[in-house]
Parts: sequence; structure tokens; C-alpha cells
Amino acid sequence: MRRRLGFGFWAAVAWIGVVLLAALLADLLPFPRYDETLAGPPRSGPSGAHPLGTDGLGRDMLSRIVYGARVSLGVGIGAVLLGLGIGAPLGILAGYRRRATDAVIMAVNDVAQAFPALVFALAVVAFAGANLRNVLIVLGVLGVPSWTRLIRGATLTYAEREFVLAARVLGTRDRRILWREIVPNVAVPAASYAFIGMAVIVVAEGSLAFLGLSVQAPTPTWGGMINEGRTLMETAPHVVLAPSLVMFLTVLSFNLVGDRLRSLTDVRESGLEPVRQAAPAPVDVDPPHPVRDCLLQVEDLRTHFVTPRGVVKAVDGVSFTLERGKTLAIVGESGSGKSMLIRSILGLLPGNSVRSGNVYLTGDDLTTFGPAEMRSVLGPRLGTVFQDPMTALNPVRTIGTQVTEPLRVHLGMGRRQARSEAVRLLASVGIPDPERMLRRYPHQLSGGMRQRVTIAMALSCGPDVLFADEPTTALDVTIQDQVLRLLHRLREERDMAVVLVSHDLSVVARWADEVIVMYAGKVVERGPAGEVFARARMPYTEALLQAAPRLTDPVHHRLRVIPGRPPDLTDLPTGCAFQPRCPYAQDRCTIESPPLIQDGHHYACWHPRNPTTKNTATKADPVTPNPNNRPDEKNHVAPNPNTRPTEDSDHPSHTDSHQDKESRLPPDPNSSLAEDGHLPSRMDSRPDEASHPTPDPNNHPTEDAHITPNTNTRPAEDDHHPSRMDSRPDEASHPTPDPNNHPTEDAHITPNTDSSPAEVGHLPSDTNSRPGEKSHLTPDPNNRQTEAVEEVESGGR
Amino acid sequence: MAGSGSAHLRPPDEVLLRVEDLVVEFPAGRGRTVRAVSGVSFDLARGETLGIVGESGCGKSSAARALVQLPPPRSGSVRLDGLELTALRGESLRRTRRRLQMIFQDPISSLNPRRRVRDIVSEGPRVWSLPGDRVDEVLEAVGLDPATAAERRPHEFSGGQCQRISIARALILDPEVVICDEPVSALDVSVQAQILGLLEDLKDRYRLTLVFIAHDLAVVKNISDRILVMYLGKVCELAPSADLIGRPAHPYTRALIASIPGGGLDLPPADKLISGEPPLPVNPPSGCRFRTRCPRADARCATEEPQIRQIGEDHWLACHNPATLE
Repeated sequence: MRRRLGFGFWAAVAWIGVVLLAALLADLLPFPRYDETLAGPPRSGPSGAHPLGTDGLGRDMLSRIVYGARVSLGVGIGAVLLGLGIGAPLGILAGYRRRATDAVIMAVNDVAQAFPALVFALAVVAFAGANLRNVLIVLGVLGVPSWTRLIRGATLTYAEREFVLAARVLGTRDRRILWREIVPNVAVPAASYAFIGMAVIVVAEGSLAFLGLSVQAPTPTWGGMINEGRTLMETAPHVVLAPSLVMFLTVLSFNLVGDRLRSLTDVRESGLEPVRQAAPAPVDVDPPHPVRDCLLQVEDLRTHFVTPRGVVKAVDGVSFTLERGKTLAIVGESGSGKSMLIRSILGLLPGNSVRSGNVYLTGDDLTTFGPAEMRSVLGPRLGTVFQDPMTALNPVRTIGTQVTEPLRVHLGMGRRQARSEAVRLLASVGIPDPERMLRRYPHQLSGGMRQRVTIAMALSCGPDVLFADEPTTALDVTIQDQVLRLLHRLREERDMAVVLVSHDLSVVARWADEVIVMYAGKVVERGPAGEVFARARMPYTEALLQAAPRLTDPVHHRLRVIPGRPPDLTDLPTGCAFQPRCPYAQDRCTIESPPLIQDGHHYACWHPRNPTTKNTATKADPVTPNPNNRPDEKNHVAPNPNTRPTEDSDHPSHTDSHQDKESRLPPDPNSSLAEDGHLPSRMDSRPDEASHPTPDPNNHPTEDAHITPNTNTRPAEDDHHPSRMDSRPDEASHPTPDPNNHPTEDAHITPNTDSSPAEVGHLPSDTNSRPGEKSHLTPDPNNRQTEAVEEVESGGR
Repeated sequence: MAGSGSAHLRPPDEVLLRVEDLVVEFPAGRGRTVRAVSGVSFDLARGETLGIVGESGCGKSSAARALVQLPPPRSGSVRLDGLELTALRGESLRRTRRRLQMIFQDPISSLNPRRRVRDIVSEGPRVWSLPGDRVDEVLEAVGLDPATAAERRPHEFSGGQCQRISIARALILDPEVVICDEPVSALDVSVQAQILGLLEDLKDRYRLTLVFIAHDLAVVKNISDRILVMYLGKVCELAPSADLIGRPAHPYTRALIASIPGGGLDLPPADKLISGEPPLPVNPPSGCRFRTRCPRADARCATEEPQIRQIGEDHWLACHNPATLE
């Protein structure tokens, strides 16, 4: 807190404190009374006895300033409190009640604000008498309309928030909602503006005093002192300067405190600036990598942010190449660095970032480009489309101006030529009646149309690469389909490359040729989209695929849950960044960070999933196949492979389709299937455990409320699927432990072994299905295509 | 579609929540009104999860808020266990509040940033003068450690954890119906899976009846027993989830499914099933509201609004020219 507020803030607070304290304790301070004339020689400058000198009547200036502070601060603070005291309840009422209450209060408020305030103040003080009370009341009341407006605005922003709605849904009474939910939130901005208000009032009081309309002599006021000293400016300037300086510092301090407090409550975004390169790149050394003959090549790109909490490694050593006519998808969850990767490539990064690595566009290293060169590349060669088309378009300029601008700037077209080109562009992105569209403003268009416009703008200069950062996330699903189709068509027509950033795996699987999976700033898997989705090697990719719901999944299908949360980018775990959440992590994963290696496609994992049949035998990990052998106390849960029979009985139609798939299953139970081209993946089948259908003796409920292991083992399983007993005798005869079949070591990744009630209903032997205690943190590794498991098993028995 | 009618409602004594002919209007400036929800009916049996799906502007969230009478609907009936909520005002309405709870889309905005988690969760019991000793229990039930979480403020939590806190706040009052308004839309895939799993667990544990609103059909299918498809304030189709996804009859439902990459059904590409953009709710098309985007629309669709009718076991449809079910 202290650091964020800064030195100036604390200096200002100290000044206000000193002035306030002096004013309060004035009577106790060892100097002459303010009205004691000839306490020293008149008009004398600062001296030991009179630190600020004396005025025309020989009164001590310091004493007068300190007593004057009583008036200035008293009026300043008092008037603000008075204004707030009346304005805040009115504003809160107007903002919370809305409708008629709001209309009446704000109408009166508008009338009051139209009143000439200073004239009013002068008139009242002149008639009612110039004393402290009247000045305070007048200035306080004059502030009421502003306070009402301000508090109403603050209330409005919070009254719309869902937590207020939630409180009403709970049945909270209005009064309590106001006090508990709204007032604490409004108080902070109100307090910050109160300080600024005090500064305004101190100035106003000074002005009134200068005009002789504040507290009357002999009580000193700062404004009055300045007025009195006017005549002595030539001979004794300190008589004017001292109170002026004190007033100036006080007003400045109030403003500073208010402003700093306000900036605490405001959310400001950092702007994007040209990047800083990391420390001067090693000169003259040839790059350690060959510059390939391709459209876009990114080599070991790193972007780190220096923050007070530490260095954030947003992008940490990313390399890839991209050819014309291809779509590269970058997937990952929020914070994985996927958007930052794009910004790093484009060189559009916040000021506190440091970039290293190389980005080659047809062989030219963009990281060596200066701002001017970069501008000539952004647009003509690299186009960008961002998530929110509303923020990408300038709301006060017409679509026509915005679409023609890059044409005129980059391509040097004339007005008329640019206009006809813009019409052609808008038509090419499927905008009906493009002529009329040119005259419209962004807010007049739907989200889908706006995104089409930004795409048209990105394409206007014929870029080689189009970067689309979550281009359809803000759009409806039917519009999303239209926009993605459009991007695909344009890519074909223009023979450009597309870099598509998305969190939506189904979109990526459908539209991308190549895919990069990012986790904690690193590429954890990379390869052709079909292959990566069909045979994910990195456990994170696999988990991500199984966590996404699909239309083809049965109803109430349990999705894979990835325990824990993404790592703190300032404090990454040792070894593999995914290791703390990975069910297959071994000792090595916690020590050594896995490199990106190629085996089919690229992946970074010590214990990859979905091994090919060939290397099953060779890639044995040092894993104990039987969980019962591990003395680890956490390991008292027997993973039961028999868990979720798919919902045959409930949904015959799905059973059919699943059985269809089954019949096309490759014989290796560990290889996943890609028959419909999207996101197939599954956990392995644990045939070893299948041979131990007896309840695990170690299997006792844990203390941990989050993890309730299910202890049932479903002995009735075989009877339940008699038809499959003999389905795969060949596999059944090899119930050898799958080397990759790691028993879970950690309680929080206990495989979910029970099933939803609909499924267990027909299994009377299932005595222990307590779905209510099932953990949400429990991944269900056996959740997809369990038929295969069952077949293997039942055949084995 | 854009169908009206209430033929699909089950007998009142079989359902916990019965919504009939719900109409929600908002002022649209210059004296005009927008009908966000226009004659929608649905019901929920105890323990059932009803998914409501549709694109932005279809009125699904407005309908959700009308259920809790915030604000009350313009017309129509909302009956909770036989009690007509729309007829209640003030204190008598407030007394029904704890029976219906809501979870919102934005996990951050759903929690008061200035209050501690314990205060947020225990607000319900405090309002109802109930003992607040269940705070730890519900926090544990939603997967948060009370010892570490209860004394913190929302900004110290991730989006998924904030959503858990919201769920705990709703659960502590033992509501009968929980309305989830896009509860996972703002979350990452892995967190979304956690929250969906959590909702299923809690539904069993606390015997909840859920209204689950989302724009993502795959998410809705995952959690719902029945799905209601809405378009521009009207009902298109209602069916058990597997049936709706497996045998969609309404052209709009089919377009929605086809728009999802890898949808699984053997449907034509989405651009053959739907065209253009949704019309503005201020000025909806006559007859069937989907006709302006529907490849199957004919003259009758422009003049006559389709009524909801049964086309299969518990499969209801509002369309003149449904896609043939093969």
C-alpha cells in the first residue's frame, strides 16, 4: 500500500496533519495571540522571535496563520461533511431506487446546479452576516448538488452489479443492502473526492475572505491576511507570501491525497508500447538456429514482465514455423500466454516487458525493426483481428473512414479509390449493402457485423499473416460459424497464413492445420491438429481435451477435472510447470523441465500418454503397477477401472453410436481414436487393476472432506455385460500392466470410481454409491469409452 | 418457431416450478418497449435439471430473472409448488426468496469486493435469522477450505473459486430451485469442468432442482435432463437432452448443433441451415420469429405463429415445417 501511494502522498498527508494539529492546539502553542498588536516591530521579516515575521500592526504572522487555519480547515472539512451528509443519502437513494425517485431528485439537482453559486454565496453571507457558521453552511449547501450527482453515479455502478442482485435474491431488505453492499463500495470513491472537495472549499473560503465576506476581523483568515497584506507588497512581501504559500501547500496536499486515493480505486490499463529488447543481443554471433525458408518463423521467443511481485514469464521460449495457406492454432487457458505470444510476435507489448528471441517474416528479423519499420509491416504484411470488435473500432468515426484509412496510409490510395476498394472489401467479408455500411458507426452494427468489419480492415492491405486473437469468443455460436468459415475462405482466396488463438478446442480441431498447446508460457505440445487431438502425448493436452464437454458425450457425462489451478507465473514450480496437477508426475518431473521433443509430433513430457504400440514395451516408466504396493499413505484408494458404464440402458441411441465406435477401435486399448476427427481422447484402461476385483483393503475413507474415495468395485460388472465377455479375447489374454498406467499417487487425483445415480440404479450390487460426496476435484480418468475397458476386463476374467 | 402455447406443461401436481406464458418487457426508449420474453412456458419436476439454451438476446437471462421476480414479469404466471409468485409483493415475496436462489455469470461481479467470504456466505442466514454455523459445511461442500478461505476477500480468489463462493452463498439457504445463469461461461475449460461436476454433486447431495442457462449447447447437454431452446423470446423446442441433440426437429436447433464444430450429428453445414443475423428484439418478425433466417420458411411462417405441439415422447416443437426425423 505504502509503495503504491508514493512519497508525495505521505508528504501531503504529513502537511495536512501538521496544519490540522497546529490549528487544533493553537491555544497551547508558545507564540503570541493572533490579535496581540506590536508583539514585535511592525512589518519585520522572519526572525527568531517571529519565524514568519510580523504584519503591518506588528502581529505575529505564524500565530495568525495557525489561527487562520482553524477557519480554513474548519470551513473546508465542515462544508464537505455537510455537503456529503445531505448529498450522499440523496445520491444513494436516487442511484439505488432509480425510476421516479431518481427522476425527481435529479431534476431538483439540475435546477440547483444551474443556480449561480458564487452570487448566491455572496448574497447570503452579505445579508445573513459573515461568520464562520454562515460561511460553512453556504459553502456546504452549495456542494450538495455535486455530491448528489457523484454519489449517485458511484451507486449506479454498484447497484447494477450482480452481488446486489444476489443479495436481493437472498431476501435481504433494501436497508441492509444499502448499508452492507453499497455504502462500503461507494465510501472509497466518496472519500477520495472529499479531499478534492476540501481543496475546492479552502480556495472558495479564501476568495470570500479576500472579499471580506468570510469571518470578520479580528479573527484571522488566510484570505483576509492576503487581502490585508496587499498594501504592503512592496515593503513586506512576506505578509502576503506566507499565508499564500500555506494555502497553496494545503490545497495541493488535499488534491494530492484525493487524487492518489482515487487512483487506487480506478482500474487503469497499461497502454501498449513498442517493445524493449532484452539486453543488447550478443552482437556478431550468428543466430544459433537456421533461418528457414518459410513465411513466419519464431525462434525462442520470450517475453518477460518486470512486476513488483517478480518477473512474469508470459512467453517463455516459443518456437514455430508457419507456411502460407495454413492455419496455426494456439490453444491454452487464460494466463497460458497465448495472447501474449501474438503480441510478442507483433511487437505490441506493455512498457514493462522485455522481449528476446527472433521473429522472421520471410527471412527478415522483425525483432531488429525500429518503430517506423514495424509500422510498415503491421497492416500491409501482418493483419490483426481481436476478440472484442467494439474496442477495436473507434466509436466516433464511421466504418468508411476506418476501413479506408489503412488503404490511404499504407497503399497511398486517393479518397475515391480507397472508397471503392473499401466497398469491395466489405462485400468480400459478406457484409450486405456495403455502400450504406460505409456511412454507419460501429454501435449501429451487430457484433458479428463489427467483427466482419475488423476482418475487412485487417485484410485491407493484403497481409501475409492474419493474427486472430479469439476472434469469435464474443460472438454467438451461429455467428461464430459464419466468421470462422469466412476466415477460412479468405485464407484460401488470398493464400495467406492464419494464426488463430482460441480457448475453444472444438473450433481449433475443426479449423486448424497445426496446433500449439501452451501452458505457463511454454509450448507443451505442437503438431498437426488431427494428430495432436487424436493422440495427445502431453497429459495437460489430454486433460484439456477430456475436460471440454462435447455434444457427442452422453448426458450427465462426468468431465475430466484437472485438480489445482494454473501456476503463478512469477513463481513457477520446479521441473515441469504442469507437474503439481499431473496425475502421472514422477520424481523426475519435479526436478527437470522436459524439453520439447519430437516423437510423431512435438511434446514436452517425461511420461507421455498414448504411446504407440511399438514403444509400449520400451518406454517403461519406473512405476509400480499396483497401487497397493505403495506404502504412501495418500495412496489408499484403489482406482477402479469399472466406473462409469456408459449409459446404455438410459440412452439406447448413444449406446449404438458408441458401439459403432467400438467396432472400429484399434486393438491397442491405449491408443485413442480419432474417427470423427475431433477431440477423441481417453485415459488408459488399467487392465492390471482389473485383475483385482476384490475391494482394496487399504480403501478407507479419507479424512479430507474434498476427497471421498469410492470403495465399490462392482463385482456385478461381468453379469451386466455378458454379451461382451468374449468380444476381445486377444486383448483379454494380455492383461499385462500398462507401463504408463500409473496408479495415482496423490489423494487429490483419486480416480472417480463411482457413478451417477441414473447409472447405478440398475446395479443393485453397487452398495456404495454416494454421489453426494463425490469430489469435484476428483478427475475421472475412466470416463470416456469405458466399453473398451470393460471388454478387456470382462474378457480377462 | 417463436412458438407459443403451453401444451407441453405437465400437470401442476407433478412439478415444482411451473412457468406459464411468461412475458418480460423492458423500456427501449422513446416510449417503446422490447419484449425480451414473449409468452414462454416451461416447468420443472423436483430434482430435474432444465437447460435453457439460446443465443444472446433470446431472453433466457430475462426469463431467469423474472422467475425470481427481479424484476417481476409483465404478465404470466410463475408457480413454485403451487404458490403464485407474481401475485406476491413486498414482505410476502421476500419470504419466498430463500426457496429460489441464483448463480450468475460473472464470478467477480457476483461478490461484493469489500466483504470477506465468511460474511458473503453467511449473509443469507443472517438475513433470515438462522444460525450461521453451516458456513464451514457449505464452503467444504463447494470445495473450499473454510480455514483458509473464509477470512479472505473475493479478489484473492480465481474466477472458478469465486463461482464456488457464489454457489456456497446460494446453497446455505437450502433452496429448492437454483437458477444458474451462464454459470460457467466466463470460466476456462478445466474450471468449467470442475464447476459442472460440482453442480452435479451438489444437486444430488442437497436434492436441488436446477435451471441451467447457457449459450453453449454442449455444456447444457452435459448437465441437463431436458433442454429448452429459445429464440428471440420464444420457445423453439423442448425435449430430453439426448433426444434434442440426437433428433433435433426445429430448424434453429439443427442450426445450433451444426454450428458447433464436431457436433457429431450428420447435419448439413451450418451455413445451409441458418443465414444472416438475428433481428432486433424491438421489431421482431411476424409469424414465426425464426423465419427470416430459416431455409425452410414459407408463406405460412410469415402469417401464422406456430404453436407448440408434441412430436415424440416428451419432445415438443413449435414449427410449421420441421426437419424430417429420419
